[in-house]
Amino acid sequence: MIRNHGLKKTTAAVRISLIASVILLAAVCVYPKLLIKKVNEENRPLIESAKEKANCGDFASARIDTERIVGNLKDRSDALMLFYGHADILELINKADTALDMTKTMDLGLLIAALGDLENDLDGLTRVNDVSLPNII
Amino acid sequence: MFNLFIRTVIIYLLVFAVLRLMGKRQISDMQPFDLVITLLIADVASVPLSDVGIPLLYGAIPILALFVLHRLFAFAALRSQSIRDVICGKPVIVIAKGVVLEDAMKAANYTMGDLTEQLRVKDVFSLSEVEYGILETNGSLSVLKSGDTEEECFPSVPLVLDGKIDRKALSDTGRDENWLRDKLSSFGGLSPADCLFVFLEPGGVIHAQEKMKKTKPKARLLKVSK
Repeated sequence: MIRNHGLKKTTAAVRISLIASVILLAAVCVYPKLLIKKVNEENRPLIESAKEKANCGDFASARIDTERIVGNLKDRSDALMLFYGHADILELINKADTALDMTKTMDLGLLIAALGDLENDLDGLTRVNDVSLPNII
Repeated sequence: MFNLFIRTVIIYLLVFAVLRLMGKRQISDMQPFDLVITLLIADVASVPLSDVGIPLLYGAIPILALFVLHRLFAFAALRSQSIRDVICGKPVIVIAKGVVLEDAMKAANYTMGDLTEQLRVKDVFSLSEVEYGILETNGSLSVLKSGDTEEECFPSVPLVLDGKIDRKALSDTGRDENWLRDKLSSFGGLSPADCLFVFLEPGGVIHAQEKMKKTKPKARLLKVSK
């Protein structure tokens, strides 16, 4: 008699892969949002602090804040590159580096502009994963 | 360059696994729906392959999403005849008792040229040889040739599929539900809901198979003449 060998294994494999896929898709829907929220929470206060200190002429303290921003972004870059375009993440780090350079040259105008750019880029990355009509279409 | 190689291996394994899990079928046997999903997967998979600046997940997530959707639709189609009809369509009889059904041909966007070409593929070179022609949901044409005898010649008619009675098919054959229940009850009180399929064969023969049950793992094949 002809028998179907391994039918149960195939059915089990389909079920397991289906469940694993659903879990992975759910995780991918949630994790990038948590990640970018964490990045925002770590860096936005530092950006504000760096701006305030630079405005007061305390470039040394502003440099410490900016160095922490660069360090934070470099630490998170691998995880961010999983979910966002690699070029976008590299650009974000480059802008933080530019801001750091401005603290060294003590150029207030360019430092404020670089920190503003950094904030805009963070806003952009945050908005990419928002569930909204413009993002869907 | 090594990154590209690793990415290609990962995507290859993912596509391979997903296509295997979606079911093994030849391209020619695929429903249009299956074919489109397969082409979409191939297209999506190619996106992150050639560009290391694009996260690998941008290819993997759509592939997994298509896989999950495909399985959900397949499951729904398995459970419901009406969903199956929406997804796969229904076979269309284009030749019945030797007569080409123009309205069915129009509804299926099928020209006489298509019909004669498909018949030639089936080694049928004259319409007069054909008793029934059925345009299947995958686009192929099934042909029942005219018999040499005077006996009525028609394709098997599915009266019950997955335990559900096709009342239209039943009335088309000039029978009713009581007749079907009578026939099936002669097999130890079997009801249509207990049957995986019941076909009415040429000559009025009923060909049925009982659904497999956990308590009764062996399916029974039943045949009864008129």
